[in-house]
Amino acid sequence: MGLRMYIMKRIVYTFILIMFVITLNFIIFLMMPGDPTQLFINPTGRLDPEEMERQLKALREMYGLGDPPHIRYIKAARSLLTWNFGDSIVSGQSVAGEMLRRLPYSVFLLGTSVALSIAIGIVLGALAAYKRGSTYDTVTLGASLFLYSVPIFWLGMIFIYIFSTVLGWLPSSHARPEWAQGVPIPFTTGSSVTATSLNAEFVIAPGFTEFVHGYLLHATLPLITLVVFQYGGYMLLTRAVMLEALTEDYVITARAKGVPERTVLFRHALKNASLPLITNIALGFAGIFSGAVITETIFTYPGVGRWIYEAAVTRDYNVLMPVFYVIALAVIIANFIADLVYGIIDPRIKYE
Amino acid sequence: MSTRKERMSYNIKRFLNFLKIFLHNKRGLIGLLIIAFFVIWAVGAPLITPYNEWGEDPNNPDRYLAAPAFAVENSGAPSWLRHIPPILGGIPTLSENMYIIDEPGHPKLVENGGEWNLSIPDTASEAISIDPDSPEDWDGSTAPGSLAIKFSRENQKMKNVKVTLYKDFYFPYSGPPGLYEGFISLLVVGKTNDTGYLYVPVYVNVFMERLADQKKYDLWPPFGKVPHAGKKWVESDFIAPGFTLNKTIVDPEAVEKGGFGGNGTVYIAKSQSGKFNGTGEYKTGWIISKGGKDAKRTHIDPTFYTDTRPDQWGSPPQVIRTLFKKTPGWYRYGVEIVFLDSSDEKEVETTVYIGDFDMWLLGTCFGVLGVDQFGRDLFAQLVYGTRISLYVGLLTAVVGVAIGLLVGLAAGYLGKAVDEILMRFSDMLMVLPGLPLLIVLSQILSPSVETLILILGLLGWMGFARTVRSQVLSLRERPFIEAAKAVGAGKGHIIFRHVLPNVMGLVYVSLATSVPGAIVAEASLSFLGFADPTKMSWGKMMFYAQRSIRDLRNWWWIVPPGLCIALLALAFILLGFALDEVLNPKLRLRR
Repeated sequence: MGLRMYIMKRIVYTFILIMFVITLNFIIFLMMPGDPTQLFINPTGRLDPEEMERQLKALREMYGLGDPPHIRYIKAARSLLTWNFGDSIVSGQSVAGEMLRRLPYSVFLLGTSVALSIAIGIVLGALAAYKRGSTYDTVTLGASLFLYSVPIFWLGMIFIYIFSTVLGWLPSSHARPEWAQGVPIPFTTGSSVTATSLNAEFVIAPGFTEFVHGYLLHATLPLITLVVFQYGGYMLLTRAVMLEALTEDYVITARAKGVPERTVLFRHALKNASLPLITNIALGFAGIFSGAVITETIFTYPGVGRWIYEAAVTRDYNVLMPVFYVIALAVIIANFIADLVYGIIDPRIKYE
Repeated sequence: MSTRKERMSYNIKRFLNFLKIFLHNKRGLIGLLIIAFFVIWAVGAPLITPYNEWGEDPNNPDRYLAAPAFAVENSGAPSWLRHIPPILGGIPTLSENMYIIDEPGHPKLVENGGEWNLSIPDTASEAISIDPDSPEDWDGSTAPGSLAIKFSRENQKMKNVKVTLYKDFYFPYSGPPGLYEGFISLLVVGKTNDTGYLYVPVYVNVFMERLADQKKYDLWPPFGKVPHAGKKWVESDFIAPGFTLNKTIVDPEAVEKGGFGGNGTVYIAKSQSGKFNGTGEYKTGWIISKGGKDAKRTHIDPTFYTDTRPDQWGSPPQVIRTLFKKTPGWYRYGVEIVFLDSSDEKEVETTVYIGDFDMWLLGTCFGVLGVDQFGRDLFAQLVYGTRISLYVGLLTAVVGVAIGLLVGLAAGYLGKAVDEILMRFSDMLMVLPGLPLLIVLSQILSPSVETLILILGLLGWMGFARTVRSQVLSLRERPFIEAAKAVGAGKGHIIFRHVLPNVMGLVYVSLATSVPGAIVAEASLSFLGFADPTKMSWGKMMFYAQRSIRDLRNWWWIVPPGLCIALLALAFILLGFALDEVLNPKLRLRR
């Protein structure tokens, strides 16, 4: 089996996973008590009858409620696959557009935090495995175990208390500094270039560096929270995998050859241990997304995770479903990427 | 075949042997001790704390235990914080609850063995007569009888005669109390004119006075005067902030007629000083006399209560904080009764009966962990919260492990298509982001604890199924399975009698290690506010904390529940590790 075959297989499998999530979404949708449109339409009592009628019609059309279940399923799958999510019940805005506005925040927050915590976790874990039984090992292991069991929302609140309330160093909420509140979120595509985004140029006046600085400052606390929460798991994982690798014959051979310890540790042992590491890291992605939802909620960070919370609070089912789908999709894609990396690194796949 | 007895003794021996090895494992022992501690909390909660699951006094659930969090600055703090130096984060200006009156009930004078003093002006000593133990009483009083102060004269008009009933007390704390709560019951009876107006109306004023500089604050009534009264108990529809007038007597006639301000509602004073129940609004206006069949509602002349004294009527914390600024010190609590003798009528007579007279200063600190924004004990919530966490954690582990075991056994032993289907399905479930799915499901299903356990169990078996499967795969090739097959044993027999006992070690380990995930998941869902609203849990404590503290100043509210979650989760992880080492000797070397 060559690499190409392997990748093809993963793509097919990934597509099956996506269909599974869409099916699950559909089933949950069917499970809702009563006529789904009753829940959809006007849960907040804010719409006028005309608007209600319009939405009802749009909904019925979108979900094809008059159709038999299999046709409805196909329609629902098509609308999700084609990124055609409809409008929010509460705000009336396009879900897809809002999604594009929020995704960059989540991708940035999660991507950075996962990269940082994997790096920290691997280094600390490898060292702990190397110095097994020492004070360093005991302390880092204890700390990691503790941070691993601490609920992330608690960690976030403690950080807010320390860095925001007591020290006053970092902002505890939102993603943008106050002077940029009117500015649309950057990286937005196409349609949302409006008057507000034109004004933005004046608001951005403080200078690009300050602008970035403001955003980074606001992302710091959620980032720290996520990293502190995540690194423990990676560290424990690396330590366990490395303990095994360090007892292998090739490590003994390398040492006998007189290879420097650092090289043995990172070149010989870690490189070989990275395969099970990647598998396990990929398996943990779903859990990380759960943590991200809570972190974004606590810090009122305007990402997708915060959105699912807001949609649930306002009972905006029209948002809840696509957002859940997109989060699941993100996990699937992350898994797919991990699979690809695995395929590229693993020589058994590469050269066979 | 061994007898039952022999098998039993063998099992006991084996268990004791296991225990011996296990107790040598330090980490496992620590985990077990922590779990035992929390189990004691969960089981013995009613013995540990006198309050209920919500931290309320079960006998009086509507009452604040102390000044609630955020009523004033630093209120709702734990008691011990008072004794810690400020450098270490202590707050010496906290005050504790203080009952000013030893014997609530009808006030007994000092000369009759009671605690109250009575001051009567010398010029009026003949006009005033006292009955220390009058039988006149209202139905809801805590102690029968009342103190009667009677004013009577024949010819000479006396203008205003002020009688003061008071008690002096020492306030020992160096900071002001957070709120006050008091009540008084009054009955004013006297000679009236044809329209029901008293010839000698009375002015009643409940006050608190700082003796050092004689600064005085009126507490009730806000508009001063109760000049007219019919035959029976005086009731006020309006009460001063934080002051409760006994109002269990409500005139049903008046309610029917839509009196009390016009919309037919009766303002129950209790909600003012007890918990805010959503209807607590201040109403102005009526002071009502009430009594038997021929009771008359007498309206106060509007001109009487125009003299509101805004400087004295801020919010209750403001009033009390201004007064108790120079603490500690001596204070006086009492009631002034002024007989407004301006009538030309001869032989007038008015009697004021004072029933229950009480005052309670609610401190800014309370108990081990302080109180929440509803004045509820946080420690009780913490102790009772253990129940939900343990319940959800353990039951979810059982459900998840049971499913994982069955799937793992089936996939591993049956192999082929069964294996492929089951494993692919578990891969799919593994991709689902747990919390977002829980949030979605909680909005669609009813969010009861049992539903949560079921969902968590259904989402949490995949990892264990994989472990069992790989173990079974290697067991399948062992000679003893082959031997069983050769003897002609069926699949079911082999799986349950030969394979299962060999994976039981994994089961015990997994039971322990899958608890933390469930505990944290439940806490997360509660924290976001999507869990069962009828149960108090650690996550919900933090939900309330986050809801009410914007800048999270009350750390004593946030830290303990999170720490408990972490400790309990950690304990199960440690226990799992220890079991792993003891039950799977192959792994012993590795860690």
